[in-house]
Amino acid sequence: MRPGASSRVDAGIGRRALGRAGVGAFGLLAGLGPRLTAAQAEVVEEELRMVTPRTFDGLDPTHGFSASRLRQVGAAEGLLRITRQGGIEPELASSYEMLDPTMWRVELRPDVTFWSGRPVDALAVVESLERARALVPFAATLLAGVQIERIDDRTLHFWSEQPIPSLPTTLAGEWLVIHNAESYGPEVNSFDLAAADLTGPFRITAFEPAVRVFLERNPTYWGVRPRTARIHLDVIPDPDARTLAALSGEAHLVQLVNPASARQIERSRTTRLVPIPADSIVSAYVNPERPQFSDVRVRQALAWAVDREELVALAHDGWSAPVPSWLGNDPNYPEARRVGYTRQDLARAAQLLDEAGWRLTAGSSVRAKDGVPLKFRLLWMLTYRPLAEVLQEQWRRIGADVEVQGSPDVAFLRARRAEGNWDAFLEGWGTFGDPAAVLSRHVGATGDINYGKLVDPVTEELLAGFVDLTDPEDRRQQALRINERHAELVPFIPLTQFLQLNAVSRRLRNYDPHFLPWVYEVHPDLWVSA
Amino acid sequence: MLQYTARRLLITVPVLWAAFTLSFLLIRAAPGDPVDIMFGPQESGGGVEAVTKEQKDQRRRELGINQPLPVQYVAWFGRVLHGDIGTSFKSRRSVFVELQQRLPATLTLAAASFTIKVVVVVGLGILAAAKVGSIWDHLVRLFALVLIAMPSFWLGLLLLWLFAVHFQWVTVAGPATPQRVVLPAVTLGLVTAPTVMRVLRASLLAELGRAHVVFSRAKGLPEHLILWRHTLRLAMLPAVTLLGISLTYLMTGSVIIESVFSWPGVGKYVMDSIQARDYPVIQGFVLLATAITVFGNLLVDLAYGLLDPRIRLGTAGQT
Repeated sequence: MRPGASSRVDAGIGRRALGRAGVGAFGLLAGLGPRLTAAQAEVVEEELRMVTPRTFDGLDPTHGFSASRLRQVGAAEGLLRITRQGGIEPELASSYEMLDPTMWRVELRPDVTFWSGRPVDALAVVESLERARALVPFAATLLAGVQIERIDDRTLHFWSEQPIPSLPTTLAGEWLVIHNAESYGPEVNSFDLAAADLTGPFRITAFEPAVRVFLERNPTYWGVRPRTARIHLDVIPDPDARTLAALSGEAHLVQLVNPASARQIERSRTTRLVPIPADSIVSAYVNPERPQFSDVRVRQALAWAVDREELVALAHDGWSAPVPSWLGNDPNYPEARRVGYTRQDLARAAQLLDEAGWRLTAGSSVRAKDGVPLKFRLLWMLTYRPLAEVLQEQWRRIGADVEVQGSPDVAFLRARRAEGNWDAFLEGWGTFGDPAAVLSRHVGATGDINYGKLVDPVTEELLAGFVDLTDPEDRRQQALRINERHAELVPFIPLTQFLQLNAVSRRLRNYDPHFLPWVYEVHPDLWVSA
Repeated sequence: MLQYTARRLLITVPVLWAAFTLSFLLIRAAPGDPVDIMFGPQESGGGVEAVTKEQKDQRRRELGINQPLPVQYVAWFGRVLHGDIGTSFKSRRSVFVELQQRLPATLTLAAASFTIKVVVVVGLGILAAAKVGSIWDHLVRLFALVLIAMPSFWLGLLLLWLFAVHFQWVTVAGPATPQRVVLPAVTLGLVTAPTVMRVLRASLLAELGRAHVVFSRAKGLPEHLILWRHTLRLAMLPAVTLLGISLTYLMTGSVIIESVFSWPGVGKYVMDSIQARDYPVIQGFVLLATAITVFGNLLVDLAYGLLDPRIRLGTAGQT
């Protein structure tokens, strides 16, 4: 036997059992299969221990944010999934194709079953998606106008009266988890473990809401056999305590450690730090209805005055990335990283403000126009206070008097926004998804995230153009055009990218973080070396 | 005393109603709409799909928060009278069941930290008073000062680092076992003890200077008898008041400790519910906290009678 091949011991398979596998099988493995590496020769630890700030709300993917959290731990799947590069690939589906712009055909994998043994056939998929549509508003939005039709046991048609070129992105959406609707029943049924019936490499064996979850290898999983036998997921709400859990070695994968304690983990011999650039960015939203911001040159000046590198260093302890334009952090739009406010330019900012009539007067450090000072209030929420304070200082350098106000409680900001009582605020949003839908929400005339209600005819025209574009590349180019227009108009100022810091045991193998870490984290080939 | 206790328990009913009504009004006066928060962007990032106004209104109808306030109040009060304190907006489970699941952990932590606190308060308070002016007194006062100045989360993290990372005697996360309650109980007990300890020391010193103590000493009674039998019980009265009040805090206000030690109690759950504007949970918790406060104060009043027989509860002018 070759060293490195015979010593491989997987969970539940002893050396003796492997020996009995026979010379022929081994010869096939050694001769025809890929050569086993030293890493693969390591012994697999039975249990993967994870720590998270929060688990899923319940066992029903239609409840709260359970769908994405269940997917995160490998206990749920969709028809399609989002790849690490931002593309789409089949998951429970075996293939998908566009028949015409209004219709798609999806083929299901054969012999896939739920935990209960019920086949994941076309009927089960229709029931599941219709249940999600009925119970989850996000799913209803995704599937608005889309009809789902069972053609045969393994074939489905998705069609609409309007073109649906982004259907694959929709089906990969985190809300459309395929579950056994019959088992869950018509209402949300989140705490009945016996009713929980999903697919994926792992299945839940015990669940204590907001405390811990136990999972074990799903013996009927359709893909490669998961190398880890069990997963133990604990909730630790405090970020510093999560760092301690990583340093103590009691967890192999700790999500979202405190950036302030990242150095401790970096010095650790047993644990390493994995920064994961997520798809969300924090932006400064300004209110164009306020006289200070009605002039586009003022908004541009504020955008040029931002030193994003400094924001990253001071507000994020270095654990973030600058975002020069709105789509600048989305893996689908690498070109957008070179567009927009790629550097700080105080001279240009000052010039723009001068041109807009906001000038510095003798003896004052605050610019004014017609006797009105360039003064506004920047609101923050959640953990954005340091960002707000660094921005306050950066904008002071161009003669803006910024007052910072906020609360970690999101309700504070939302109430001010609902009243229309705001000048500027900080908020984070992701950009991944169907570009027509995502971009319309932010810059469309009726977009719900177009907080300033800035309506631009050019942008409207570009958004309307999506209707005729069915080719993904054409749609991508259209999104880039809107991104460029956004950089000119600056309805909001993109600042920095979210960066999730995970602490990972040096014994954890094949940890390959996804840019949507709250959806995809555990996969069958994730394991801990003993 | 029985009559007094019965009367106090009867007073609990209007107190509960008042607290309940106030919480109902205050939480609705606070900015933020539960449905907006439910469907808004999440802290962990990630884009969420748009939810239409109709979908939000539908959810508000399901939760019953689209009705005028008086209608909501009457409906809610009617349910409470039938023993139903509501269903959580977020988990969609009975608030009673949710609180019931978390209460044992909170009670365990409160009982353990209260015991530690009493031991620290009585032990060090007496030591400081008995050895007033000595190095022991100075050390105890310094210890109290340090504890008062130390934030509870910092002490908790320090203890966790020492015992979970360095010695690996405990785990950072895990079920609510007796082994895991030690560190949060020590933290909570220590950070809440110094104030009471200083009150007890001052009270003991005042008592030790009174005429009956001078007389006892003149009579030749040993110091330990004077301390334990003739002064401590009287000196304990103000400390007992503070201990009673802190009992409520230990049971309801240990949010930070529960977060740091991942202790599955009521505190963190309620904090999350406040942020999510989960009205039924907040109201259910206020009911519980009010009941605990009333009960804690009753215990303090009853303890007065035991500590000082001159106090006759229920007698006019003496309570």
